[in-house]
Amino acid sequence: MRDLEKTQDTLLTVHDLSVSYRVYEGILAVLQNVDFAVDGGQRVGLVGEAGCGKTTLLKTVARILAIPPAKIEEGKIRFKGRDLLDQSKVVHRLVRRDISMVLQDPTASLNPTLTIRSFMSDVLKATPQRRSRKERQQQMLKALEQVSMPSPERVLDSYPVQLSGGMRQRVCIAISLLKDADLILADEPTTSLDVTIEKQILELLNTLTVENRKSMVLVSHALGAVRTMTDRTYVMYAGNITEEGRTADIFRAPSHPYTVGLFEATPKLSGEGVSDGIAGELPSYLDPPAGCRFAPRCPERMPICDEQRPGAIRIDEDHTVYCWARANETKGDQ
Amino acid sequence: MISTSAPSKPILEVRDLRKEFQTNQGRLVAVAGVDFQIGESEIYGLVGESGSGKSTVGSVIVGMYPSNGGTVLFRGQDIDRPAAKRSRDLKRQIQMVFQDPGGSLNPRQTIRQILSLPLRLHCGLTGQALEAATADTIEKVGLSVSYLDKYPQVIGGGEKQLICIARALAPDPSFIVLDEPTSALDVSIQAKISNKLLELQEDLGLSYLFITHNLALVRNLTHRTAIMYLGQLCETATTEEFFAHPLHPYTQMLLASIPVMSEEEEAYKPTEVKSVGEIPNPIHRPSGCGFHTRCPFCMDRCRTVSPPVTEISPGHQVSCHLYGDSTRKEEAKCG
Repeated sequence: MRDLEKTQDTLLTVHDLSVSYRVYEGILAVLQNVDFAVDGGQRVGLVGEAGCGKTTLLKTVARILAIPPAKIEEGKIRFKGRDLLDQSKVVHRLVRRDISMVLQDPTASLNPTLTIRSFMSDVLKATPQRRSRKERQQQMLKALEQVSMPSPERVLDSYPVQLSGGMRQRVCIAISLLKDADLILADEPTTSLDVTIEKQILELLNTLTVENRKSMVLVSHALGAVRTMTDRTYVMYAGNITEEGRTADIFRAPSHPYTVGLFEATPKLSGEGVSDGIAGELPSYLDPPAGCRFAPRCPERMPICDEQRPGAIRIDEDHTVYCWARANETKGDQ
Repeated sequence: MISTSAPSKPILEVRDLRKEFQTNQGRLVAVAGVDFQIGESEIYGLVGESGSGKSTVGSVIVGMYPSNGGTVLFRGQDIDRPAAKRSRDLKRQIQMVFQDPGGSLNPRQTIRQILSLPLRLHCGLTGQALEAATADTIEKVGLSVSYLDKYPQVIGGGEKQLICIARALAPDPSFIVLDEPTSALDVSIQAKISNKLLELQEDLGLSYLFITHNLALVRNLTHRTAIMYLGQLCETATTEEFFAHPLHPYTQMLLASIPVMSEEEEAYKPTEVKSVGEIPNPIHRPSGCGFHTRCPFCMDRCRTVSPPVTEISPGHQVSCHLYGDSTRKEEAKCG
């Protein structure tokens, strides 16, 4: 874990966050003491399989988590020096202005009964600046051009159904540009798209964030996308951060047994055959394992793994892993 | 590792297959003349983006719809007719596994009921023999008999897909159409299912038509690969040859677009082709070569003339004007 005080230009810090959901069957303890940070201009990848709590984390940060059924049990979120869990209007405005989200399914995030023009001008009208109709028009066209939209004028007068999936996702990214937000939360922005379109959208997000020095959190289970687009990577499993570090380090030398298993299970173009995957499935959040949540599936399981949760083990200057097996190794080295 | 051998005796032969659908906007040509052969005990990968018609090919083979032209031969016998008009033995021989395991299992039946139906229908088993065969079937895919009395909703996604595979295996088929069998699953589960499929193929000598959009998976699973775009095959080759020398511009674009995990893998990606444009609506199919609207090497001829299939090396076929005749090839190189 990094010293949160040390980094001056930290844009977002999530400290010790636990979030649960109240459902009919009981309490789903999803996020468990999550620490997470994004610096100004930094691009952070969040990797993990379906149901590991990636989206819950993003929704909590964007303050769009439905409470109830969700409940923030404990923890702090600071964004630009403000307490993001504060319910005041000032914070609410800050979030709406400076955080923007691109969701997985572009179809579900656009209103089917509004043209792109009316949808986009609604977003502009909600910003503090006052603009004439003409200024709004210019700004919308500029945003659409920035996302390399073919024939932006025609797109403005289209309904979402008239656009292809890739074009809809471009519109969603253009909308996030309209606000000039400092932090873009991209939740699986390319999962519903074809691979050639995925490439285009990722390149677009890449240039836009680099050119405008925006911070971005890229949530994806496409590991290759995270490798090429981010500076830091967090690996999540069952509501816990399991490993964190510079993207290059994590992909060169993954340390946590889950990360290793995940990387091995991903089929490679170089064709080394298929690994056996990771035995078992994600535990139920109703009654998660008391110790390390990965223990039941872990090839390096020890008795302590079932009893106690592992703490942060710093295996390198900027590479942290939460694992008992690694804790013993580092002790052995000293 | 997968051995690459030319198909000796085809189990399935598809010749000039065509399938059209009438829609409100007009005639949609989903499959526009597709030829391929799948050998005995071969895994044939059919790759394409959404809207390329790859699933329609699979559906016609299992008899979900009749085709609009062309022939489908199974061990030399013409089978191009809907499933209802196929003989029971033929239906037993050709099975299918779908993408969404949750949607293809009846939530009101136990796993035992789901698995025993094909055994009763196709193998005529009853009583004790049926019990034993059901248990045998579920053990084939590596699940214990304790799953038999569970309902689909209480088991995980990977296990559901294993049940779907067990159901396809139950009547002892020789050919299975796998329509994106792992794309709804997480990578750690996908690896397990893929391995199980490989193991079963080797043990039982099955043939697969493996339909997917995941080229990395095809690289590791299949013997031969075909790339489909707008209802036509762009390129077919043995998988090894295919990844060593991808020829068609669309194939190169696909490969170049895959986000990969390491520098070693980057080396497998062609660099000269950049992804531009989107797959056109199949209702308004471009004239000539379907890919010309996105192709960086597009020539005048591509806009008007559909490219012929050219055999570059044994088993490696590509349909692209770049490789059509030697003069054009030189021209493209200079330009």
